[in-house]
Amino acid sequence: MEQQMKLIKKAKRGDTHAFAQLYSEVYQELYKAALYTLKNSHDAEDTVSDTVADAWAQIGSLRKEESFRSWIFAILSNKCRRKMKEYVEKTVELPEDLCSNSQDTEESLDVRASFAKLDDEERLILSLNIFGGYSSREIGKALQMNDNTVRSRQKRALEKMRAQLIQ
Amino acid sequence: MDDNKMNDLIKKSSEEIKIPESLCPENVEKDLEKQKNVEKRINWRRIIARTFETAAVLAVVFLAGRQVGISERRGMISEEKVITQSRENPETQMTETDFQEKQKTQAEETVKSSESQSRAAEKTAAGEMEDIEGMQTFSSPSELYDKLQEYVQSEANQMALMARDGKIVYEEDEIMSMDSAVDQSAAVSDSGAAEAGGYSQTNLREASVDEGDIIKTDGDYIYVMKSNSSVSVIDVKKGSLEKIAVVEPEQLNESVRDLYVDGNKMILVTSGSRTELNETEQDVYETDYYDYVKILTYDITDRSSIRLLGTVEQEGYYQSSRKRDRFIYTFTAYEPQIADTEEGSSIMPLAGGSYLEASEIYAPETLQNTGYLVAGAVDTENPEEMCGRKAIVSGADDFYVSGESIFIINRDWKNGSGDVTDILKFSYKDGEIKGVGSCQVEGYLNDSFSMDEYDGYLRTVVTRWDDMDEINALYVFDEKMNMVGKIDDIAPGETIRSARFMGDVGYFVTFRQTDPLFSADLSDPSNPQILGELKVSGFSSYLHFYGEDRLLGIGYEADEETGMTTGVKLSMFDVSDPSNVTEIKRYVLKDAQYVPALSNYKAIMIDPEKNLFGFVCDDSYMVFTFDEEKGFENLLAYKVNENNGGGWYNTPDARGIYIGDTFYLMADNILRAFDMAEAFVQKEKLEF
Repeated sequence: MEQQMKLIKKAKRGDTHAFAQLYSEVYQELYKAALYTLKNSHDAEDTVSDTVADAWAQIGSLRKEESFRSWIFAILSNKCRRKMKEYVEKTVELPEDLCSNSQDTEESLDVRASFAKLDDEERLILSLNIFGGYSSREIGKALQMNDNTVRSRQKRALEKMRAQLIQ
Repeated sequence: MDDNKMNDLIKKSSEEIKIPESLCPENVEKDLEKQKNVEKRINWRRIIARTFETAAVLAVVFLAGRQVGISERRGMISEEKVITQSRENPETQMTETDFQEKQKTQAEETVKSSESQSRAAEKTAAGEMEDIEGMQTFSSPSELYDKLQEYVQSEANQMALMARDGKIVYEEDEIMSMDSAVDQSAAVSDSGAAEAGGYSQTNLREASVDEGDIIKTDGDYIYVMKSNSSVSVIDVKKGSLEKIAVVEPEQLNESVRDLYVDGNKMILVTSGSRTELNETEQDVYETDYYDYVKILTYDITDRSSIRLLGTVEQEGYYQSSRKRDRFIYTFTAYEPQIADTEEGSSIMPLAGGSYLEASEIYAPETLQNTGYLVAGAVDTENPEEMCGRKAIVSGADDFYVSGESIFIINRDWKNGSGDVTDILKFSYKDGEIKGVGSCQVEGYLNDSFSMDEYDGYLRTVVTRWDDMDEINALYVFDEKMNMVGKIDDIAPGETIRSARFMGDVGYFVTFRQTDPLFSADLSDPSNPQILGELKVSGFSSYLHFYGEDRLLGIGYEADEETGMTTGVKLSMFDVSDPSNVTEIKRYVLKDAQYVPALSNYKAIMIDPEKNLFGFVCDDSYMVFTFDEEKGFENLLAYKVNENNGGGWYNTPDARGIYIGDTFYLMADNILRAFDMAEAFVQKEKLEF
């Protein structure tokens, strides 16, 4: 925490290396969360890139009580929601390449396939929890939902996946 | 496979994912360096002033509520449906429409006053279903259904319009501040002096209204909840910690949410859910989730042999509860299922074994959403029955329960963009809950301390947006919720951070870079006056009257130039002359970052008579006392690890209590005893 505070202070003063260090601790999960939520690697990359740009620009507003991680994931969450709305408008089918890597095990592919079948909100909630490390309360705050609602959505989503995977 | 394993599986499935080169830290650093040399930094000061209190979410305007089940029921499709967008979109699409409407139309005069006074005055207080100002009642379920369906339809139309226009409006520079909807109501009436001598009490919002917590004591025993799963009774009479009983909910998957102890009765509030599979067509199933709360009353006359006396069940997600004398009032959030036909819909919650009647449901003129707040009352002398119940459509963002009334606070997203707040007032007496009136104020409340009822009058401080800046106001309402007095235009450019009222005087703190502590004279409800303003650095997030003429503030120290917080601050104010308040002592924990109790007042232990208070700061539980000469004295700083033993409901909150000369710290599932007479030497511990 001490270390993080020092880096944040530096980053606020314009130290790109400090920012990159903070970022290095979360970047993989940021991408994974975006990918699992948006189901498209190109958009996920763009979204994370936009998130980084915004985070850098707004690092001055990061309050002392917050953690870098939860703060940057909140930015990502909003960008993902925006993106998913655009998907509704678009008439073109986007390639879903959540399951594209050939090095993946059979099991991984199955899990990802069933994850992809969840609805937008479910994917976002699970991603924020699993990759972002958000508690249900934090997710509730980020999505303006009651945290009980978050919990039940999460439960339902996991049940859906379970049912899929058993087959 | 349980949920945790499932989560692990999902995590595992991501292990082989390749992260694009451009996102690697080295490349990101290079890009930012390039950018730095080319552009200037954007000035985000405006944004800073408007971001959320915690876990900054740079969000566009969103609704406070949700509607669930609409897509699930329509056309009776099975759970595994593909129409995902329609469920997600309603709330967010609506906000976009709101934004556009706000730009098109002028903001209305939002504070209703005497125009509606006549209506309310016509009806008497007696009788169930009189016309309540701003609230609608229903004479039949069909009427209620129609109103809900009307709302649903209009939302669907909005969505269709949006989709057609293809416009997505995001106003990134219009960031609204919104509080967490967690139960924040805290005791307001008197100075928080401990009622019984010798042991600490839960830090209540209102002295006569008890609130559930994860730990309670009656001086002889300590009752403590473990990870929402059980309650243990610890005998401390002999000076040691002896666990003599454990109480668990009957159902294994129920969670214990709140605990009350009063004399020889113990009450638990638990929550749970049941799933039912209903076959709607051949081989097509629908899952029905039924969430409920149980109020369990136990006889603890013999602490080692505890008997369950009665249980009452109420549908919905647990929000909060209160206890007044022998009555327990439980609040849950319920989602109706609105189908195309009334027959196919399910719009009455279950409470106390039967469905609510239409006559027990209130709704505001304009619905914000279709969720209900259900309020149920149980007489602990008759714990098998529910003795009173009501439901309010559009739920509740926050509550404040005074000695006389229940106030429900809802931000209004329809007639503005969340910058208007509805306040609904209910009376509750001996288990009977009745609607009294409502009002609407321009602006939002920081937390439930921003409201206070005294002598029948409701005083409240709000922050609102005025074009591009914030501004604050104080309003006074009478018993019927008509505005009788106000002070406008307080501290432009700042937001309210804390408030505390006592009788005829109110104190509140606003902040941008420095912390003016305002004192207001409320002795004449129609003519409130600002008496004084004290500027100090930093800001207090929590105010508590501390003995004669003293006001304690707990908050953060901040840099006067930038407004950035630099540590945790304790301030003691002399309020003997409200028009001339002075800060007599302060104590700053430099570089300390976070006091979680500032958004959960029950986690603060405070007893002005005993001259002791404590709370968690970063990773230590700290106990303080105050001396007029020497100032604040830190008596204990004990390391706690708030991140484990959390459970899904995130209540790993440490708690501190005292009995006589022993201080007890409950943290990380261990109860420790410290000798206050011996410099807080640890005497005992008990692991759970």
